[in-house]
Parts: sequence; C-alpha cells; structure tokens
Amino acid sequence: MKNLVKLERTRLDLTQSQLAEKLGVSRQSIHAIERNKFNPSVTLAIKMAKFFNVTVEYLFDISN
Amino acid sequence: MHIQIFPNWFKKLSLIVFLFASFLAGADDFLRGYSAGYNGSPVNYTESKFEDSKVVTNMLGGKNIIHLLEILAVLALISYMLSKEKVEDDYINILRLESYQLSFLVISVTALLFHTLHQEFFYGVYDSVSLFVWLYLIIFYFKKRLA
Repeated sequence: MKNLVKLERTRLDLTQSQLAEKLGVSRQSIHAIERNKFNPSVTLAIKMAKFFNVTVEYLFDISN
Repeated sequence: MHIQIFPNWFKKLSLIVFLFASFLAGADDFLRGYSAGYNGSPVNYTESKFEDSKVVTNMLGGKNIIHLLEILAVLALISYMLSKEKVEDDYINILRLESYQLSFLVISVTALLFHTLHQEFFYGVYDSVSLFVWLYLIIFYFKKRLA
C-alpha cells in the first residue's frame, strides 16, 4: 500500500523521531510505514491523517 | 500476543542482576583459565592443580550457590526479554515475533545438525535456554536498529 507519509512529514519539516513522538508510536514504525514494509492499524492511519490534516484516502493509496 | 509483563525500568535492573550473577558464577573459571593461559599450559579442569583456585566458590559457600547464580543470570536475561520497550506498538510486536521465530529456527536447526554429526550431542536445558535468550536479544536488537 503506497502512502504519502514521508511527503507530509517533510512538508512539516519533522524528523521520523519527532513524528513518532507526536503520534505515540516508535520511530521504527514510521520508518517501516514510509518504506511500505508495514501497514498501520486503522487507529494509527486515522491518527496520522488527523495530524497531517488530510483524509486517510489521500494519505494511503489502496488502488495498487 | 503481549507477553511483555515487566515495565521498561526492569531492563536496567535485569542487566545489573545478570552482570553481577555472571561475574560471580564465572569468576573461578576465569581465574583458572587465566592462570593456565599465563603458565602456557592448556586448560584441563580435571587436573587437581586447578582445584585450589576456587576462591569465589569457597567464599560464597559451595558449588550449589554458583549453580543458583548461573540460573539467576539466565532468569535475569529472561526478565530482560519480557520487559517492555520505551514505546510499545504493533510494529515492535511484529519485530519481536520475528525475532522469536528466527531464534527458535536457528536453535532447532543447529541442534539437529550437531545431533546428526555427533549422535551423543544434545543441548542441555541451561544451554538451550541461554542460547535462545541470547539469540533473541541479538536478533531483536539488530532488527530494531536496522528498521
């Protein structure tokens, strides 16, 4: 599942650790999500979308 | 599956207990090996000349205490293994599970391989538990660092 987490994170000028701290998850999770190695839970996906002020559908692309 | 039952600060406590117990349990063997190495002779634990280097064993009150210290060291490693990370989430749980799987696989394959090569060879309880815990901790550490 492709996602725009890295794009949104760099847009806010945040490091992976800073974003992880704000979302209450590990830095490893953010890294894995950005590299498409791990699909986040529904809760984390919604948390991320709310944090970036975008929709979940925009942030995570399930078309592929 | 969540089996991390101890808080994060338990890691430090477990590490201190492990180092303390291992140091005391292995001190005599270290001294024997060190003096044998210094003399240039190969280490042979059955030789009576090494019997007198039981400083720590005698100080603590016998072999039974050393045996208990060895068990305590492994228990400390297990409690380290069962302590929570600073941040616990789904991905950390996946890494943990993968580390358990890989450790089990490596132990099983090597045990079978050794047993095939030497029929009388079997891992003892102490060896298999400590090997499993060490393997798990090393694999989990590198998985976290490389992720």
